[in-house]
Formats: sequence, structure tokens, C-alpha cells
Amino acid sequence: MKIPVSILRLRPLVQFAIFGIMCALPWIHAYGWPSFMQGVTGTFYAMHLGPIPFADPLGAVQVLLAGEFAAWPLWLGGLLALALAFVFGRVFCAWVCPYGMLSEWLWTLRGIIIKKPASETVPRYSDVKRAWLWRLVLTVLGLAITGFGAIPVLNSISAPALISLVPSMATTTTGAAISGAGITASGVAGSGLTSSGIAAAGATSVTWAVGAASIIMATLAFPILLLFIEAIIGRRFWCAYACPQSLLLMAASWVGAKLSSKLGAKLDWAIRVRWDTKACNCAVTARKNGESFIPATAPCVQVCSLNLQPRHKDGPDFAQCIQCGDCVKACAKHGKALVLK
Amino acid sequence: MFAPDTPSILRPPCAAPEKEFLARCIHCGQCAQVCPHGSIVMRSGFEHLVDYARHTPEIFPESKPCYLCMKCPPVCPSGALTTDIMDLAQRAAMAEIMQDEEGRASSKSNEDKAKADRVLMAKATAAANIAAMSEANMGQAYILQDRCHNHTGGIMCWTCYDRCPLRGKAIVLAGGFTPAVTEACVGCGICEYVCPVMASGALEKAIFVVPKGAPQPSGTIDTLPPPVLKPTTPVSPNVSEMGRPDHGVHGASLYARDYDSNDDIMVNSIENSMQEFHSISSTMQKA
Repeated sequence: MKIPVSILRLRPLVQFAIFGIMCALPWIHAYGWPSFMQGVTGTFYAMHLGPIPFADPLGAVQVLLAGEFAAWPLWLGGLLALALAFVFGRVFCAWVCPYGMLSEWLWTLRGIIIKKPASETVPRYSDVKRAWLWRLVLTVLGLAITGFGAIPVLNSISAPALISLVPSMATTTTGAAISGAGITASGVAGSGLTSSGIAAAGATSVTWAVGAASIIMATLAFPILLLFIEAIIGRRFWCAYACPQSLLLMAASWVGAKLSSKLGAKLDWAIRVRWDTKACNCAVTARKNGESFIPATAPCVQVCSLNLQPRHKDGPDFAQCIQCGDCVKACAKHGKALVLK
Repeated sequence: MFAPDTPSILRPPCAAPEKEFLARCIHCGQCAQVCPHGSIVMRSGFEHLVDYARHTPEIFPESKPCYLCMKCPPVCPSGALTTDIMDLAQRAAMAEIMQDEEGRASSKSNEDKAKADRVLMAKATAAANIAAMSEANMGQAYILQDRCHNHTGGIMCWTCYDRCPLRGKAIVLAGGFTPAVTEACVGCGICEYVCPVMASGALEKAIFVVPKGAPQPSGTIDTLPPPVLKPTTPVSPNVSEMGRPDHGVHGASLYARDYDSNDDIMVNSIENSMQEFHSISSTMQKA
């Protein structure tokens, strides 16, 4: 099944729409409108789409290591997320993850400010093929701490989930303010300005605003810090080298791709970026124009936010590729050698 | 390992014991999202940047208590909030009411039978709601002897008793006059919220909730053993007012969602049974 390039062009829209829904969700619940959205709850740690659970598969693993067996929605949700990665690859990272979206926005913005497209300014952090090993190390370390401390610590560094958790916090604090009761109390108690949760008599709405802002900023601090680092080092640096949440998705994606290619064309259900050697004409064009062709300057490599080399027999490295389709979009203007199918 | 031995955080209803809760809670925030009152706050702030309980749900009864609508336990995906005990209690309570067919047996016509059935159903729903609320198991309220009006100024104050969602069970009138907390208290914190004694500085309200598993604070009055009640006692008309003590005063109506017919009867919204009660009583009055 070939995915047309026009669908790949919708990716920023899909990212933004999902981001918007996640931001609006707590308010949708607080006001009970629209009613068909009431069954949709959660953040990127775990969510319910009506009766269907979706969850970060690492969550159930962490609960298990912490010494408890999680309830079935977390396991089923994790398995569904893995099944999605099995068939479509790490689409979550490219099409859903709000952190990835912000990282891409940041680099677009950076490109506008310094008047150079992101592709020309990406510092070529090297050794991308081994990047997942760093993620593995961080994940194993986090899981060890989880097992030792009996608290799912890796969830505290889940960049997408932290971002999606912020609206829930905003709505509980502003909700208390709207209701008129506990304007001061909730702001002060909730923000932890006073540890005992006792409202300071005479606290004003300014105190409340400061309290609400401090709650939100404390949760956003980590993703913002990462974005600052990425502004210097490169797009999706966290995604490539650190994100523990993507490790299991990566494994499922890798197994899916391998199984799919092993089982042959008849059962080729895995949807991945694939490369057709014969159609790839960038080198040919360069030679015709008398230029020297360096593979790293190929359009497909330039646009890849993970600095991957898509020009492999089976397409880009399935372990790292997030199926964003940017290389396919770039290639559509050249030889159409890269397709998502 | 990171969890403290003495719990200090008031969790949403039906939470697992604190250590198990911390191991299970994955910070997903669904309990906070479905809470119609905005009572559940995800613990954050710069004070809690490095904290064993970071991003876990917490209730501050003084700013917003839990109204025991019991919407949060069913959405918890990891079992940090459990529904098992709640469901069992609900089923038992409903079964007990449904056995009580006195009204139905004595009625003659089919119309009377149908009416009796509806009354029975409403009673069972209400009993199920109250059974679920009784299993919330969040904490325990304690009365401070040197703060409570009834013990200090000779002022008779029944505010906590009046507003207790398990009135007559969790808070009783000891000797017929003085509010006293029993061990049936689930720790929702409404008493702390409504207590007219102002908290300031190190002083607390005259009645306040400590999380389950925490020791009895000093200076508080010992709790009484839970009263023995007849199964139908919670379904008295008095009790039907409970569960929404601040309705119309602040926020409850703003946050109240549309409880339409899609709501499962077991999803135990007190509002549902309230509406059912009102509609039945009005039809019965007409008839």
C-alpha cells in the first residue's frame, strides 16, 4: 500500500491538531462539551479513546519492575501502541509526539531567524546508527532506578507526556479560580508555595497567578531545557540519543520490518520508507552537471531531522527512522526513488 | 524505597496503599481530567522538582475536597486507583435492596407494580452510590479538641455533621449534640472544607483529614467505632441531599456534566440517583 505524498504533506497539520486536542482536553472535560469527546481522556503516558486504551509501553514495564502488575488497560494500551509501531514504524514520534513537533518548529524558527534552512545548519552529530545504544543505556539505567526505588522514574523524563500533562494542571488550578472558591487556596496550596497547603489569609489573585504559573513552569522546565539544548546541538537530538519512551517502539518497528521482509512480498504488511536504487537519480544529475556528488548532500539526507541516510536497500535504518516521510517528500521533486509503502 | 513510611499525601478515592500507589501511578492525569469538581491536582511546582511523588494526584481538602462522585477509579489504567472493592460493595448493596420486595408484593395493579419497581431501582441505585462512597478509603478526619467550637467556646456548630456525605455514619452526634468522627469516615475532606474555624499560620481547621495509614495527630479526639446501621438507612430522604453539599454555591454547577442516559447506572454519580429520586417523587405526587 503506497502512501501518497499528499498525505505526507499533512503531517504538520496532524501534529498540530493532536497537540491542540491534547491542550483542549481538560477544558473539554471541565465543561462537558462536546459530549462525544468525553470518552477521550489521558495524556501520552496513557489515554483512553473511548473504550480503547493507548499507553506508553514503558509504563507497564516500569510498574512491573516497581513490583506491581499493572491493570489490564495499561498492558493492552501498551500492546496496541507496540502493534501500531509494528505495522507503521515509529509513527508516534513523527506524527503525534508534541515534543518532536516543538523541536521541528524550533528549527524552522531558527532557520527563519538566521536565514538559512534547517537542513543547511544542522550540526552533523555523528554516529547516528549507534544512537539507539545511548537510548538503551539511559533506559536500562532508568529501569534500574525504577526497580530500586519502586517509582516509575522514567515517566518523569518523558518529554511528550510532560507537555501533554500541563493542560491538566492548568485546568485544575484555573478551574478552582473560575469556581470562585479557593482562588487563593488552590493557587497557594497547589503550587506548593506553602507546603502545608494552608491558604495564606489575604492572598490575592496575583498570588494565584504566580502559583499557577509556577506549577506549569515546573512541569515544562524539563522539555524547555531540552529544547534549548536542541537549539544548539540539532533537531530531535533527544529523540535520537536519549528518549527512553521510543526504545520499545523502535524494537517493535524493527521486528515488524524484519519479519515483513523475511516473509516476502506476499505478506509485506509493514509500511516503511523504501528506496528504489534504479530511480535514484541525484548522483546521475550531479554527474551530468559536472558536479561531484557527496551522499550526505542528497536532498533526502538534508531534510531528515534525524540525520539518517535513507538511501539503503531497505530504506533508512528502521531502528532510527520515525516514518515522517520528509525524505519521500524531498525525493518527489527528484527521482521519486523513496516511497512510503 | 523512595516512598516514606508515613504517608502525607491525600490521594483520590479507592487508591492503593501509598507504597503500592507510588509504584503503580504512571502520572497520566486521567483522574484529574475526569474529576468534575477539579478536586484532584497533579502534584507539581518547583518545590517538588525532585520529589518521590512528583506528578502524582493529590487532593487539598481545604481548597477543594473530594465530593465522592467516584468517577476517577474507573479511568485509572494502572490499578493505582482500584474499582474491585467499590464494585463489590455496589453489587452487594444493590442486591440487598432488590431483595426487599415488600412494596412490590403488596401492590395490586400493574401500574403500582411498575411504580414500585422504579422506586426499588432508584433505591438500589442510591444504595449502590453510597456503598461506593463508603469504600473510598482516602483517609480519616480528626477533630482538634482545642479548635472545635463545640469543645471551646460553647457554641453549638454542626457544620461538619450537616455536610458529611456519610452523615450519621462517618460523623455522628455523640450524646445527641457533639459531632464526632467514626471509623466509617473515608476522608473526603468536605468537613475540613466547610469547617468555619479559620486556618492561619500553623493553626489548622478544627476538623481535618489525614491520609490513610498516617497516625492520629496529637490533640485530636479519638474516633468512635462505626455505627451499626440497617441496610436501608442510607437511603432515607435526608441522606439523598448529601453528596453535593455546596451545590449552587460555587462551581458545582459549572463543573457538573450532563448526566444523560448513557451514564451507566453503576457509574455511581450521586446526581443520577438524585434526579431519579426527584423525578419519581414528583410523579408519585402527581399520581
